[in-house]
Amino acid sequence: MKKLITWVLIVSFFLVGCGPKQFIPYEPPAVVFEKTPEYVLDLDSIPRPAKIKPIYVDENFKEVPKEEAKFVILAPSEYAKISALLKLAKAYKEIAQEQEVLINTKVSVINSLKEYVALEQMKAKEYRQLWADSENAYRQESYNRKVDRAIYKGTFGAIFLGVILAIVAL
Amino acid sequence: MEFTSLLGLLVGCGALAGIAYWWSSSRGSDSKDSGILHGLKQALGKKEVEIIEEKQKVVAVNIEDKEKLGRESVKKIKEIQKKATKEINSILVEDNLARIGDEIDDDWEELLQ
Repeated sequence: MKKLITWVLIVSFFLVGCGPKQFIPYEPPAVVFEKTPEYVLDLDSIPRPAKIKPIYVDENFKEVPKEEAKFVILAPSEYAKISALLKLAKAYKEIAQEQEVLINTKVSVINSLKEYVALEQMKAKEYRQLWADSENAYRQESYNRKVDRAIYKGTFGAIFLGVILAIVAL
Repeated sequence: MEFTSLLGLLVGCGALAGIAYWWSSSRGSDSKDSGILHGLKQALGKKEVEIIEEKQKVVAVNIEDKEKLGRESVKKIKEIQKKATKEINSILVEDNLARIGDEIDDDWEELLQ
């Protein structure tokens, strides 16, 4: 009895060992994109000069009301405001130029993402095809087995009947 | 039953068994062929997927590079802001008319470019 159990165990072990290899799906490479922070342009951080206070003068350089003025005179601090305004305009121009670079970079990123999505769709289609192929192969194999079983049963039945007929006839 | 009939019956059973064997073995061969074809299709599909994933990797690296460029641009803009703040604060306390005049000339030239 012990011997029989040992043999049954050994045979079972071999039968299990001869089973089909387990299918391990292909692990796709992980692609992780860092989240892009929102872009904020804080123009308030650049100081803006206060309104200019010119001195209105006539042709004799005598201070007069604005409506009668022929020239304006600026104190150094007011003249400096013009320079500050120019610097502000220059900074805005530089920022606008750099923002053009930034926007084009973002446009390029969007185009690349579109390409990525298109590739992802192609991949999904390919996976779907693989899935369909596997499913069809499984169905074909399953159908073949069913037909085989029916043939085996039919053949065995026919042989069995023939043998019985032969025995009865004898 | 006569011997010839019995022999006929046995031969018939044998022939039936033979046909069934031939049928199942040929189906087995078909199954093997379709298995090979299926394996080939799967291998080709996997290769195709790998090619797509390689392309995706290239695109992902490209996106990362562009993102880096974008971050550089944001940094540059902040630097421009800082520089402008410094310059404006400095000129607003300046009382040397000649220096203010020179600054205006230079900045005006730059703006016109």
